[in-house]
Parts: sequence; C-alpha cells; structure tokens
Amino acid sequence: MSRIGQHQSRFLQYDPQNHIFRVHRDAYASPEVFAEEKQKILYKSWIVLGHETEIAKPGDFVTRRVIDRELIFNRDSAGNVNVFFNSCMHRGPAVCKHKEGKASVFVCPYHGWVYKNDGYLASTGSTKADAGYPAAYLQRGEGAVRLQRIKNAAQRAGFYFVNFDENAGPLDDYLQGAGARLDRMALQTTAGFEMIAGVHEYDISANYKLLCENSYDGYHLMQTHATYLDYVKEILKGSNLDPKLGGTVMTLGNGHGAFEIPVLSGRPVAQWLPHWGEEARLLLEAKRNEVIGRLGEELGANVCDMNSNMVIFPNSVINDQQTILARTIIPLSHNRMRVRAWTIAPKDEHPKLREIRMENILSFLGPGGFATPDDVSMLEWAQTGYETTNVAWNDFSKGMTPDETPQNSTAVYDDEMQMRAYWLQWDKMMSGD
Amino acid sequence: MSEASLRQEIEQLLYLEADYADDWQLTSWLGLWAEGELLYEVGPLDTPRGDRLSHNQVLYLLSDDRFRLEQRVIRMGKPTAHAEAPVRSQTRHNYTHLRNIAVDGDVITFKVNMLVTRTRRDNEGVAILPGYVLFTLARQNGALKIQRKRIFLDLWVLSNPGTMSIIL
Repeated sequence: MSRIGQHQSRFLQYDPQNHIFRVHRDAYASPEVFAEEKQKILYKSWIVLGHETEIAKPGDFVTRRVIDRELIFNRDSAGNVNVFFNSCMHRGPAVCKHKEGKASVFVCPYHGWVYKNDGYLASTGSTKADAGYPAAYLQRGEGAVRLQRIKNAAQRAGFYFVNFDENAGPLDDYLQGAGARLDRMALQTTAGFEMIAGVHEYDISANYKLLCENSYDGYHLMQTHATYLDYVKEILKGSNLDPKLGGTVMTLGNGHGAFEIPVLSGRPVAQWLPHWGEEARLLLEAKRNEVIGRLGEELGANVCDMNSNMVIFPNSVINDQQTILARTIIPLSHNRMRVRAWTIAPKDEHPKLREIRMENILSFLGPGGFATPDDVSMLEWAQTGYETTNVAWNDFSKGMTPDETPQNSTAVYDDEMQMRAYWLQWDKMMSGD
Repeated sequence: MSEASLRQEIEQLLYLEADYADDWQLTSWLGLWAEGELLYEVGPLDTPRGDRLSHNQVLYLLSDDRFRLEQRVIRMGKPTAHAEAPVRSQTRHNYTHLRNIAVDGDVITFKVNMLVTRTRRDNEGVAILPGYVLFTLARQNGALKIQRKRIFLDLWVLSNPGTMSIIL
C-alpha cells in the first residue's frame, strides 16, 4: 500500500516530511462527530461478536450488544450459526432475555410468538391466533416470517465478527494482516479453545478510541504502570530472569495494528515464574517443547515468548498475553464506553497451568488488577482534558518516519506508528460520504 | 463462649476492619489478617451463585493470596498508584445481617451483608456497591483474625467508576 501524502483534514494534521501527526480532539469529545462516526465507521466495519466456543453445540446461544444493537448469536438445531436482532417481528420485545443458554425456540413474552432456533416463526401463540395470519407466515417459503438475521457474520480463527453493512466485503479482506495474527494465537494448542466462564464488564467515562490506543501503547508502560512493574520485580526476585521492555509495533492494514513485546510476567503458553514452583516449571517446559516441536524454533519461540496486543479497527482489542483476552468495546456515547473482557484458553490445558492462567489474569488485567485501574484513570483524565480546555490537538508524532506505511511497517515498541495507521483509516472513512 | 459474646466479638472485628479500610490505614488493615494462607477475593459479576465456583473456574474480579494481597496493599500506598492518587476514593463500609455463624475449633465462618459507598472528587455521584461477604476467621493467640474474605457483589457491570482500586 502506498503511503498517503501530507494533508490536513477536519481531524488530521499529517505531515510526514516534517514529522508531524496530530488528531483533533473533536474526534473524542464531540457528540456530533460520534453520531457521524457511527454511520460512517462503526456500522460499516467488522466488529468482534464472540467466539465459536460459546456456541459449540446445536441450540447454544448467547445474547449480546454490538455497538448499540442487541443480538442473538446461536447455533441452530441443524448446526448453522446465526446472528439475529433480538426483537420480535410482531411488536418488538426481545425474544430472549437470557444471557446465554441452550434453546430450541425463542418465545416473545408479549403475544407469545414462537421462533425456532433458526429464526423461523413456528407459532403466533395458539392455533386460533395462527388462523388470523397469512398461512405463508408460518411456512418456510416465500412470505415466511423469520427473526431478522445479520447477513454479514463470519469467523477467523474461531473469533466471530459481524458487520451491519449489507454491502460489506469479506471478513478476511477486511482483516488484512490482523487475520494472520489471529491465526498465530490459535497455534498455542492443537486441541482447540474453550471460553472461561465469566466476563469482566466495566464502564469507562472516556471515548472508546482512547482504550484502543491504550491497549497497544508501549510508550505508557513505564510511567502509567510503574507500580505493576515494581510488582513484576518483586515476583522475579531471587531468580535470574530479567525481562526488559522491548519489542516492536506493527501496522497490519485497514487501520489494524499490534505491538509485540517479550513476556514480562510469565504465561501458561509458555513462560515460567519462580513463585509458581517446580511442578509448574516442568509443565511449562513440556508445553514449550510441544509448541516448538510442532512449529519449529522460530515460530514456536515467538508463540511462547512474546505478548501481543492487537487492535482490530475500529473497536476490537485482542490481547495475547497472560491469557488470550478479548476486549469488545461498546461505545455508549462520545465520552463513555462499556468494556466486555472475556478470555479463552486451550481445551487441553493442565489444571495447574489453568490455575496459573487465572492468577495471572487477575494480577494484571481487569478492573481489580494491578494495572487496568491506572489505565482507566488516564483515559478518564484525558477525556476530561478534551472537554474542559480549548486545546485542540492530540500528538501522535513519536518515532514518525517519512516512509512508514499503514501496512507491513514495524517500529520500536514505544513508537506511535500503529496509532497513526488507525487514525489515517479513521480519517479516510470519515472523509467519505 | 456464649453465642452473644462471640457475635459481639465478630462485630467488633468487622467494625474495626471497616474503619481501617475507610480511613486508608492499609497496614493496620493488613494486620487484621491471620498468619499463614489467606484469601481475599471479589467474585464474578455476572454469574449467579458465583460463590459455588472457585476463582480457577470462573473469572473473578480479584483473588489474592497472601503474596498478592500484601503487594496490593504496598501498591495502593504508592503515589504512582494513579487510580487512587493523588486523590483517594472516600469509602464507607456497612455490614449488616450477620448470620450463619459456625464454629469449628478455632475457625469461625459466617455470612454478612455488605454495602459500600464510594465517592470520588473527579467523578460525580456516589457509587453504591451492594453484596455479601463470606468470612472465615481464625483464632490465633487468643485474637480473632481474618483468614478468608470472599465478597460477592450484586452487580452486573462495574460502573462509576468501573474499577476496583479500593479495599472492598
């Protein structure tokens, strides 16, 4: 992909020759921009919905919000995957009020319309009621009533995405280099993955893009996470392990990007920490050997030894660190978001390694961890800065070079190149009709 | 010991624990914990009957053993613990409905309802955190100490603020 030349738009000051990249704060703080962005970006992009393990068996369903749309994500009795809007075709109430479960039918509580789990209407409440409708309503041919299906739902490496744009192109084209990064995570096991029960669901009073930026921002680690890095030092005390902050950021095309840094605080695939003990050391050694034996030294070591945080434009964060953690972000308004963080793990994981995974998740990630609360404060304070001062521009110039491109470029881990790629894509979509 | 006097002794410990937490006297708060293994945790938000599942089975909000709890307290006391610095949340712990007291040798378990309010200067309004706590106490050298504190909140989403950077 060729680079885009110097330009100034409503939202960008982009000048590669003079090493300047700035984003206007209206992009975070204006309700009007948020309304426009919903139409031009959020409803036109592929967005993570969930994982195939959530609907592993026929009848399995979950209900979930993506952006501001309430959905049912299920596997029907014939084994097909569906995504429906969760609204009765008669008068509108949700036909499923459960968060998850197994169902052969969905029943609207209002007048009793019954839908099979493939979405087709089976009854309008009674034989008598059925007689009041065209016969075609209850048959599977033309004129059939069916829960409204989202046409564009697709998966990559087990992660399901939806796109509300009827004319969306294929998911794999959209993902560009991000697809291969998802494939790489799947290499951790040959047994497939399972969803760990429970989610971390929490609100942040900030624009959703601030969390995207924060998720792969290597630059903030030393400062924002000083106390977490102290904790890591404490964990490593008495061992000869001395991991250093380092690694790379990369652009993946279409606004996607990632950073990849050496594992700092152990992980079940496959880096040991002294306080996990001897049993864990042997298990992790075995796991590491298994991965390297299967994938070769270079790729195997990359899978085991590197954390990777990825932002799939515009609002899906997939982190491969203490665990594989997805943060799907619901933008509630221009200055508020709801984060839904969930995690998958290898199905064949040894119980001791699962224990380590769970412990490791909780010490860093999530609203009660040693790191996320500090991130949240930074994002909220940034948002406040946009809303309570007249300062107009945010700076993203760090490490900028004239020849970097929004795809297939790499830079050191604490540069801001991946964010520039994000904003170039964002600005391009906002500049369209 | 009569049940009434045991109940009174438990209540005294709970009130002291609440005061230390609300006053941010973190070292004193940590001093109320028993020697040896301990468990301080906040259960999953979205899982009914979450207290039947362990932190190895379902995503808890937090789950600290002794090492992590000590590290948590150290972290919370630092000026670089940004979520609570430079301005700390003001909290108020309320415990009611002390029940299911069971004594097994030196170990005492019970359940108590909990309501914590949390106010922040940089966040309008008051966050209300309702829930219950399953406590395990141990009598060590004559004094009641906390061995386990397992908190289960009546919340689906953590909101306003969406973080758990206080002692709950």
